[in-house]
Amino acid sequence: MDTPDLPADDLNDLERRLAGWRPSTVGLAPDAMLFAAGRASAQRGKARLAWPILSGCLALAAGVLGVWLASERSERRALVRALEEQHPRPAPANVPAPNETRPTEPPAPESYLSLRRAWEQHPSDWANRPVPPVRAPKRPASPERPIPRAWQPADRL
Amino acid sequence: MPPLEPTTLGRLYRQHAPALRLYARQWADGGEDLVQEAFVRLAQQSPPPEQVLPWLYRVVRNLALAGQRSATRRRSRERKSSSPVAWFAAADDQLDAQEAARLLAELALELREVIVARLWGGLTFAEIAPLVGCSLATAQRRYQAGLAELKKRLEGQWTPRISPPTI
Repeated sequence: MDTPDLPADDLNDLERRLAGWRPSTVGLAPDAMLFAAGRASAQRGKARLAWPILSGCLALAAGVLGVWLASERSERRALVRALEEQHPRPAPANVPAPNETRPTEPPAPESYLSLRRAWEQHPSDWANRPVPPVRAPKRPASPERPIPRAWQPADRL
Repeated sequence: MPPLEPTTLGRLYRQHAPALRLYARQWADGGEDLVQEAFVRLAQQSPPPEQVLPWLYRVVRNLALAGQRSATRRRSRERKSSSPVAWFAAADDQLDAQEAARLLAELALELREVIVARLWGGLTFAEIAPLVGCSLATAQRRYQAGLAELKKRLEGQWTPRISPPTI
């Protein structure tokens, strides 16, 4: 933007002249402004009080409910005690507890447990230990029946 | 610090509201509601701002710009922008108020805004620069350019009123 060079005196004269123009005051109402400001601050004041009042009411309600619940519970417990004194409960029948310990069978000498115990007791003898003979797996007593196939004649089964 | 006293608020309003409304009228017609809203907000400030006058101008400017964005206000502004109604109560003996307002309204907004804030608002350039969002030097340049424009128009406008010699 170009800044025209104006002589300082001209500028001051012009500024003085322009500053002498008085902005219009028509339509400006200080009383209306003060009324609006007062109303706004009053509304704000009410809103400021709303939260403390609400939280106070909630705290009071929580306290009353707590006291009521405590008294109710103590009355109930007293009633239960009175009923128990009037009608005592029959003692529970003496049922023998199931024996949870099962009779143990001695583990097979080739089982992992036996081998582990032997190694723990005599680790030095482990290398000289005779290798037990490998037993052939037991065959089932009765062979499985062959599955009939559609393409095989029945006499071959 | 408590908010401003009503007496202080009333005094500030009487002292600065006319110039503030002239400033608001650079964007919105009327402007009374914007000025009133600014003062209402000032009354709610606790503590009040340290620099009350720049604060008021900033609030008025923000309100005017926000209002300008709404379609209704924009239409109204466009309708009335050609005739700046009663910006001044009185100009000087060489110019009537209506003509003064027309001359000012013909300036570009960025120049006019600085001129109004400085001449009638009484703000310093250090206060105007952050208000309009420019540097100090730019604010001073705009002010000088606006004055030069006004001077040119006033010289073209001005015709000496020759009063008849008294005998």
